[in-house]
Order: sequence, then C-alpha cells, then structure tokens
Amino acid sequence: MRKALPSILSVISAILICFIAAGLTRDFGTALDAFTAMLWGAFGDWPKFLETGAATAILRPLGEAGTKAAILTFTGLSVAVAFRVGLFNIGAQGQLAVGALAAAVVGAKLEAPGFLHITLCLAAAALGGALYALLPAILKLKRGVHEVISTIMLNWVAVSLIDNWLVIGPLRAAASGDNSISGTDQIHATAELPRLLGDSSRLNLGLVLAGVAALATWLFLTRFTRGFEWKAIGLSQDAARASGIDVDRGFLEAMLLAGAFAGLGGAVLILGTELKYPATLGAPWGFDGIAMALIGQGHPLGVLAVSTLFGGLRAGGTRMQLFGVHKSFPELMQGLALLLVAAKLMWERLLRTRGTP
Amino acid sequence: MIELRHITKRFNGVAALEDVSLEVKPGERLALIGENGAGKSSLMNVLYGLYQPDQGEVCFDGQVVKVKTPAEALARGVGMVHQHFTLVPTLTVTENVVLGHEPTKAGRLDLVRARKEVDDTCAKFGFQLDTGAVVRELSVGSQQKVEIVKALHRGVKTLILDEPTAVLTPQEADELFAVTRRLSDEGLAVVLISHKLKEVMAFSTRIAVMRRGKKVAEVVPGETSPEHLAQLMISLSSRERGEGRGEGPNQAPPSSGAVPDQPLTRPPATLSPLPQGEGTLQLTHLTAQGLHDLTLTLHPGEILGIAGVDGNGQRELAEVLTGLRPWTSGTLTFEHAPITRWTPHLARAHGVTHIPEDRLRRALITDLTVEENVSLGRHTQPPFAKGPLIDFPGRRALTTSLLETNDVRPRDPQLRAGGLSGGNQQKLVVGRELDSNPKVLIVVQPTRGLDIAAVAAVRAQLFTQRARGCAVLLISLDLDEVLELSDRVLVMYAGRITGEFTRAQFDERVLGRRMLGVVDA
Amino acid sequence: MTLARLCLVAALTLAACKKDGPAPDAPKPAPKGLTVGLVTDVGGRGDQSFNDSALRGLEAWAANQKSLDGKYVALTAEERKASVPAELEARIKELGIKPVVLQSKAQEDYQPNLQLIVDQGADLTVGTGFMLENAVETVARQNPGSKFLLIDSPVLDAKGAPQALPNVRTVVFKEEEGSFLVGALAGLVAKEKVGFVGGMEIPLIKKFEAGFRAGVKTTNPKATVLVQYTGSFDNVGQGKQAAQDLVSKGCEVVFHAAGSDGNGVIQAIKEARAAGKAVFAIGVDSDQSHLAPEAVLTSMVKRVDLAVWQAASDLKAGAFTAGDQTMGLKEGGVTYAPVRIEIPEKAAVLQKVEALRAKIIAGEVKVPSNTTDLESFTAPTL
Repeated sequence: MRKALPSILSVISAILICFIAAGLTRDFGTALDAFTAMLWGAFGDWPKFLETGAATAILRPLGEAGTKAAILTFTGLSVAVAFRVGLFNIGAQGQLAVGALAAAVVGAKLEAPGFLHITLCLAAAALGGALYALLPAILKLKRGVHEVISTIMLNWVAVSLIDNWLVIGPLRAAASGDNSISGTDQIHATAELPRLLGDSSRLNLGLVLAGVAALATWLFLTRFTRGFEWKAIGLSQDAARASGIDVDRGFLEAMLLAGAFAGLGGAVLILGTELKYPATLGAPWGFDGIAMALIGQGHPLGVLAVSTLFGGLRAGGTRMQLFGVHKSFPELMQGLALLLVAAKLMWERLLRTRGTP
Repeated sequence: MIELRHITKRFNGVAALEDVSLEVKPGERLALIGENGAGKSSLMNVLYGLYQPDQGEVCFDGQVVKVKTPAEALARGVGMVHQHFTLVPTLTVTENVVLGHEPTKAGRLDLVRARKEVDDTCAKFGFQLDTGAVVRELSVGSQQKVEIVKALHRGVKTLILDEPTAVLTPQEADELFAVTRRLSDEGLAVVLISHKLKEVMAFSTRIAVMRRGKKVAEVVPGETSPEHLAQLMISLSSRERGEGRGEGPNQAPPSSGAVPDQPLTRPPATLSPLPQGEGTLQLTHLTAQGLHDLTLTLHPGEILGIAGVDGNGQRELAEVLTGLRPWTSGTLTFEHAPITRWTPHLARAHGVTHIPEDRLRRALITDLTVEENVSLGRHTQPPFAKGPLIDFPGRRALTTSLLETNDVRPRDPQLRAGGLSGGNQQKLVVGRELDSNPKVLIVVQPTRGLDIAAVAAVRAQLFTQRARGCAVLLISLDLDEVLELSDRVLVMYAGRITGEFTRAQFDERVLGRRMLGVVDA
Repeated sequence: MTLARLCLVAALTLAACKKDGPAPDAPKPAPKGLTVGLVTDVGGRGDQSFNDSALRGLEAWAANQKSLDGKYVALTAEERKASVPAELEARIKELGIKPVVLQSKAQEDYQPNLQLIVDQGADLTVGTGFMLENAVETVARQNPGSKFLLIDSPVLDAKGAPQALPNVRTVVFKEEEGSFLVGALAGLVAKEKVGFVGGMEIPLIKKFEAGFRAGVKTTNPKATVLVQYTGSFDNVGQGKQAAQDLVSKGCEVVFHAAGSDGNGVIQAIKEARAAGKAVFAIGVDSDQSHLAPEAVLTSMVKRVDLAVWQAASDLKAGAFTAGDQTMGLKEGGVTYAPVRIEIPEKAAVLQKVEALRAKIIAGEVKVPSNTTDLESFTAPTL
C-alpha cells in the first residue's frame, strides 16, 4: 500500500491541477459542474437515478467506463509484463491493431456457435498481437535492435498496413451503390461479447476478461518461479544470466505475452462495442497503456486499478463538453499523473541511492 | 586542521556512529580501521558532506562548519576516493578530471588548456598518467589514480581513500603508498580506510580503530602490532554478538570457526593424490576471446590459484568455466566427458558454481530480497519451488538457516539485498553457492572489500569445500591470498598461462615476474 | 503531500456545499424550448470544412449563437449577415433552439456521445458524417422515441444496403454536381494540369473526384487530372504533403475533398504562391476563402449547414419527417462559393460555369458520380 502512495497522490494532484486549470480558464462554478458531470459519467449518475429512478442513468455510464477500462487494462498489462523483464514495449498500439483486425476478420468471416466463436476470435487476436510482438523480440535477440525503436516503428507499419490499406482496401465492407461505409464487415452476433447489464449498457465480458487477466498475471509474476525469473531478468540481466536463467527465453515469453494482451485489448474493442474494425482505430489505446503501466507501477493489479479509474474519467470526460470544458481534459489528467509519477519515482530512486548507509 | 566532534549519526534509529571525535592534521597519514559496519565510511561520509550528523559538529581550523554537500566539502579542501569509482568510462582522463569545473574559452570547453592543466597536476604530484587515454581502457589501478588526480586537481588539502588497495595488485598498492607518502610530505592530510592491518602498519603515522560505531582506540604504528590491532577491532564485538556469555573479554572467540587473529590453517605443503573422476574440469588448448591456448586441469580436493595482474584473462577464464563466455576452439571436459554446450544453467546443473568478482553485477540483485537472492540459481528446485510454484515457506526456512550458518547480518530474509553491507552481501553469496554442495567452485576475488572476520570466514569455507573434495579455482588479484590458500598456482599473462607452481615452488618474486610477462631465461 | 490532502478536503467540502446549500442564482430550467444536439466526427470543431458547416447550421443559423472558449454568445447582426449567404438570407430564420455539441476524439466515441445527447433530453440528435452511420443506427434503434438526423449517408443494413428507420432522417448530397462546376472552373483557369486531393479513398470521396474530372473534361479536354488520396480526414500534414507533391508535378489548380487534411492543402498552395508559383486551391464543404484569400479560387460548398438548419426548422414546425433526402444543385444542397480573386476574363468564365449549372438543374447534363459512369460520360458542348 505504501508503494502505491506516489501513484495515488499523483493522480489526485493531477485531477486537482486540471480542476484548477479548468477553473481558471472558465470559472470555478463551471469547473465544478463539469468535474461533477465527469464523475457521474464515470461511475453512474446517482443523483439522476435517485431523482428519476431510471437505472440507465447508472448502467450506461458504468458500461462506457467499463469498456474503456477493459481495453486500458489490457494494453497496460501489455506494457507492464514487458517491463517486468526490462523491455519497454511501446508497440502495444500496433499489436492492438493487429489483434483488433484478427478479431474482426474471424468474427465476420467465420461462423461458429456462441462461445466457441468468441473464443476463436479472442485466440486469433491474442495470437496476432503476440506474433506482431515477436518481431521486435527477435530483432533484439538476433540483431540487437533496441525494442523501443523497433516497437515504435512497427506501430506505424501496423497502422499503415491496416488502416490505410487492408481496411479501406481488400477487407472493406461491401456497400451497395455509391454508399460509403467505413470499416470492415460487421462480425456475427455469435462473436459479440455478451453484455453484462442488459441492452442499455455496453458493459460486456471484456471487463471480466481484463480483470481475470490482471489477476492471473499478478499470480503468475508473484507465485510462479517463471514469474520470478522475469523479475530477476528485469532487475539485472547479468545476474539473471549468471545464475542460469535463460534471459533470451524470458524476453521472448514476455514479449509474446505483452503482444497477446495488447491483441486481446483490440479484440475487446471490436467484439465488445465496435462490432467491426472501424475505418481508423481512433484512440491511442496502446500508448495509453504505457501511462497505465507506469502509473500502476507495473503491478498488474495497479494497472487494473488505474485503468478502471482512467477508463471512468475518460468515459465521463466527454460530459465536460456539455459545460464548455475541453474534451481533452481526461487525457490531460492522465498525462499529468504520469509526469508526477515519473518524477516521484525518480525522486525516490535518487533518495535511495543517496541515503543508503 | 579538521576536527570531528562528538559525531552521532543514526539510520532508522540504529546508531551508525556514536559520539565519535577525530582529528585530521595536515601532513599526517591517518588510518581508519575497523570491521565492516564499524562506521569508518559513515564517519568519512559525514566529513565529505554525504551524511548530516544527528549530533556533533565538524570544525575546519577551529571554525564550526556545516558541510551539506560533497561540493561544499570539496570547496573546503576535502576530497574522497570511493571504493566504487565515479568516473565516466567513455571520457578521457582529462575530461574526467575537469568534469564539473571545465576550463572554457568563449563559453566552449577548452580541452587543450584542460589537458595542460591536468598534466601539470600529474607532474606536480608525480603521477604517470596518459591524460588523453579513455578511462574505460585503463586498468583499475590507473583508474584509481585518475580519481586521486581528480581530487588533487581541485586543490584538496585532505584526501580520503576508502579501501583503495582492495582492487590493486601488490605492485600497484606499493605505488599508491609511495604516492600518498609524497602527498603527505607536501603537507596534505591523507585518511586511509582499510581492513588490511599489514598495509596500515606500513602506511600510517596514526591509527584510529573503530568498532560498532565508536572510536575505541588511537595508536601509533610503532607502539602496536597487527595482532593487537585485530584484537582492538574485533574481540569485543565478537563477545557482543552474544555467543560468548560468561567468557572473558579477551577470550579468542568467534562463531564461524575462524580465528582471525591467529594464523590461518594452511593447507599441507604436499597433497595426497586424489582419485580422478568426480568434478574434474579440464581445458585443452582452449581459445576464446581474451584467452589463448589454455590447457589446465582442476582436480577435486584442490585449490588451484590463478595469479595475475588485473585484465590478463582471469575474468574471461572464469566466464568460460561458468558458461558465460563461448570458446572458439579447444575443448572443455567435465568428469572426462567433452562438453559441447555450456551455459550458466548447464554449468550449475553439473555442479559448477561461481562466486563472481562483481557481486553487485553478477551474483546479487540488489532490488530483490535476501531470500529471493538465496533462491537465485536454484529457484526451480526444492526447497525453493514446488512444481512451477515458488515454495515460500521452504525458501524462508532455508534462507533463515543460511543466514545463521554464514553469520549474515541482519538476519532478515525480507531485507533488500542492497540494504546489506558489502561484507554481508559477500557472505550471503558465498553461503548460497556453497549450500548447493558444488563439485566445482569458481571463486573470483572472494575477499575483496571484506573485513578480517569475514575474510577469515570465507577462507575457512574454501578449505571446508576443499576438504569435502570440491575442486576450487581461486582467482584473485591479491597475490598473498593466492599463495596463502592455493595448493597449486597458475600464472596468467595476456590470456595465456605463463607458469605453474606447486606449493614447494612458491616464490613471490618469480611469480611477480611471470605476472608481468617476463619469462626467465 | 499534506497540501494535496488539504486541497482535496477543500474541494470535497466545496462540492458538498454546492450540492446541499441553497443555490439562489442557479439557472432555472428555461421554459421548455427545443434542444438540438450534434455529434461531430473526429475532424471536430475548427476543421473549416464539413463539421464547421454543420455547426454553422445549428449554432449560427438556428440558434444565432457562436461558441467562444466553450461558452455560447449571441451573434451580432454583422456576424449573422456574414454567416448566411446572400441567396439564403430570406429563407434562414433564427429558430431559438438550444444547441448541445459533443466532439468525438475517436471512432469509438460516436455511439456513447450520441447516447449522451439523447440522455440530455435532446429533441433532435444530429450525427455529422458517414462515419457515424453505424452509431446513429444503433442509438436510433435503442431510442425509438428520439429523432435523428444523419448527414452524408443513408442508414445501411449489415449487407450495406440502404434501409429506413422510422426516426431517422438522412441527407446525402450530390457532391458530384458541385464538384463538376468547380472542375469546369478549374479547367477554364488551368492550362495543362489540375490536381485533386482526397481524404479516405471511399465512394463518397470518389463522387467528388468523378464530378471534378467530368467538369475539367468539359471545359478543358486536354488537361490531365492528377489525384492523390491521403487516407485520413484529420491529418493536416498529410494533406500538405499531397498538395506539395501535386504542385511539384505541375498542377495549377488543386481541389481537395479531405476534411482537415484539406487545411494542409490550402496551406501548401499558399506557400507555393508565396514562392512565386501561379497556383490556386479549391476548398470544400464550407467557403474556405478566408483561410487564404489570395490562394483559394473558390470552394465546392456543401450546404450541410442548410440540411441541419432545415431539420431543426422542420422540427420546430412539427414537420420533421424521417427518410432519405438528396440535395443537389437544384435543391441548393451544393454550389460553389463566390470567386473573389481576379482571373483573366472572369465574367466570361463565370458565365460558362453558370450555363453548365443551368443545364444540370434542367437535367440536360447527368454528372457521373463514380468511376464507371465517368468512363461513359460525354462532355456537353459549351
């Protein structure tokens, strides 16, 4: 819990700073209204529910928050597991795109009964993401290419390949006449992730999957000897290698898992809400994953918690526009929190190296 | 003159220094001795501005001064050379020396002037250094000289050397002492933090002995002996460990069986031949990067010493034997079977373990806990694992007993390994590697930076392993250590073996020549 | 640390006071007027093009307001006059409705944003752009009691065929007709080469291209048309790059249909002119002349503003009908903006273009709307 303190304080400070910024640019009354609206949009509009008794006032926001939280959790885990072995996976965005496309294609082109179809889509997405993450891992091991460089580059390769060619070219959904249609074919109903709170809320199985993934990752990293090996590799490659740990294998495994998680994030996006690969994969989920992993300090449950919070804030943040506050404030909070966490961690490291007797 | 008055410094409530007073006078060579954790470095860190004392004060020429940072200490003429160098490996000697107060011309670094100034400093104090060389390519001894020049270049009047000889060859150490003598002749005060009683006796004009955070004695070399100093350093502390209840204060003590102030049990001058087989490691015409045509046999039950000046292939040899470095030709046989694939994992599986030179890089992960470090290398086997899962109770039990048998303090399995003192870290590493009952033990610089008690403990452990029939390869830059412990010594120079000596043939001068590549006619 | 906690406590207290305490000057809900909500596509406010046109129809024309730093302020008479084109001045009336606008950061935002507008109690919800087609369909099905307007696309079923929903009006434009006229103008102004920068390579943008090509062919059969697609609608840099490429290949007039990417196109033309090249840009959707008065020849104006205003007006009059509408030259849905810069024989040139307009409205010329039709297109005699 003490370790989580810097993150918690950073997030709180970031929200406060943004609140003050919003208050100074508009006025504090409006800022308060906007931030309250964001809160309702994130975790349910309880006042409206109490007033009108409409359950949708709660279910809908929870659905939006939950879907965003699920994707952020997956990309956050992707960055976090790579980080565990000391690799910086900046390629979650590309891996997510590959996974999303794989899920969309399997969901639309294949026909299978209910849960099997979902499983196949998820497997395809995980595999796609994993293979796409394998590339930088191999480049690193065979050619010594730094993974930061290769994963960044491969992001653009994936985006160009998918958004600028496949989705508007070979995989574009057919429309009759001169009608424009964006994205790929719609997936079959059998591939849709089941909604958890009925039709009015988009909350779906994705959030449960994300939670399970975070928990499983945590158990793996803390309870299994292989998880211990990853930790050792991440902290000291030399010492890990000298003690007989196969460092290269650790890199490969961690990158594969990282890619699989990012791919699953893409699958949750497609199978949960979009139901097809949209014309462009709009939000930078993969890059947000870096923030989730860092603010969550690489801890799988920390990632889950941070993703839940920011998933909520970002879902609710749309409502700030109703009060004339700019739509980007949730991202601003996220960025600030990241900055503060990074600064905080740097501080602690500094103090520790200085203060060791 | 510098006075430290009644200094007390606590870390988390534990007193590292308790009411310590010390004077440092110009032109003297003061030795500060004591066990690991006795507070020597802490005291000097207070003087150097790294620590703020909780009580007490620092006086410069009678004036009380608060030294808040090393920069302030430097400004008052106090310089310190740490055990771990603070040089930038990719910069040249000159650049390292002027780093932080570079001479500039029109706002740009004036390297020509810098080099000339550094050359002047070197000449003034009699250092022979290629100031244009890149630091990475210098030997450890030369790097240390750079550190000293760096301090001198800033005009320090008091130079603190923290265990300077731990990394040096005998020749380099002699040179260092010659240099420090010149410095004190020039009126500088030199403070030497050390464990090595022999060098302390030879070097210093005054000796302050510290024990458990207190200064227990101040003596002059002429009035004392190494035995007496050893007694001052450790006898009381051993009793304080609580294991000698009822014993007299001067009773020779400690727990681990090592008797530091008595001569060590030397191996017999001649060895009874041991059965071949178990744990025999052979190299035949082996060549690897940094090694040329090595042929050697390591027998069970012997300590084979490798003597040599730093950087002559010892590290590479250890790496080949432990699976960290591939070889390009020749063969490695283990128990008379040629080895084709040799990784750290396979080496360990064959019972070949490694106590590396650089424990912070290769042996320990400072951010892991003590028990996690203990499991490192055997983490997939019982009692550290149950199937794919970590066996937490098993790991804890083994760690607890390992800390006890090896006297690692504090006995806290959950402490960060980085929180242990250097000596305790080494005891942990040694204890861990020996706990697996290895057939072959590759030991590199096992006593570097340890205090007397710890050195004795480690050496005793090596003898125990030898007695068990373990084959021990001892690589050390400390020639005395190699000669003292080994049954047989190989000398390495430039990646080759340039001599083999049995105990009967040990002769420091002959070995020294071989270490420098001089082959007798 | 302590400070942060204090601030938090203060903020919470403030929030609590706000909720519990009496709020004498809190705005009472105004007598129930009509609320019209609008969700932009990712291009968003300030694209100077498609989204801004829709926002103009809603905010300026229907509500007589403009958004200033997140607040709505009433338009002055001059501003309103500048906003409404002369030919529509008589028709466009202020409707006194309340606008609610949500911008979308990503494709994934469309659906929740539309739903949020509905939840705000909007009487009509506008989805701007074909990219919102899916989202509008889903939300309209889930909220059968609410009315929707979808711009630029019919509601399509899973097979991509148009379908009708009882609470959705869709408006599509005959972009090819407007593009034909600016193409004709470009053909008259340029000698050898003209360029076209498209956003995503989709049927909608292909309509622009087909009409433009047909227009050029009609007035300048020998001229070549060079085409570049940027693949996006929200990347100014890509648009600029594409236009620079076209200029370097010798294009004298560049027409864009690329949303925000087009701002880059105009920027590139402006810079090329500053470097001494005699080149012009043709804007799209809104009159983009103000972006670079000396460089923008005209703009293919798509009266998205009119479509939005019309829907709001119908709503107020109780005459809002669902169904698909198509707006071409005849309906005033597309046109070209006044040519404000001097070109040789300006009057004669414009006269020729106007003649073509009349022929299209009269049905004498059928403008091709896709590549196939373009191939069989025969240019009318001038």
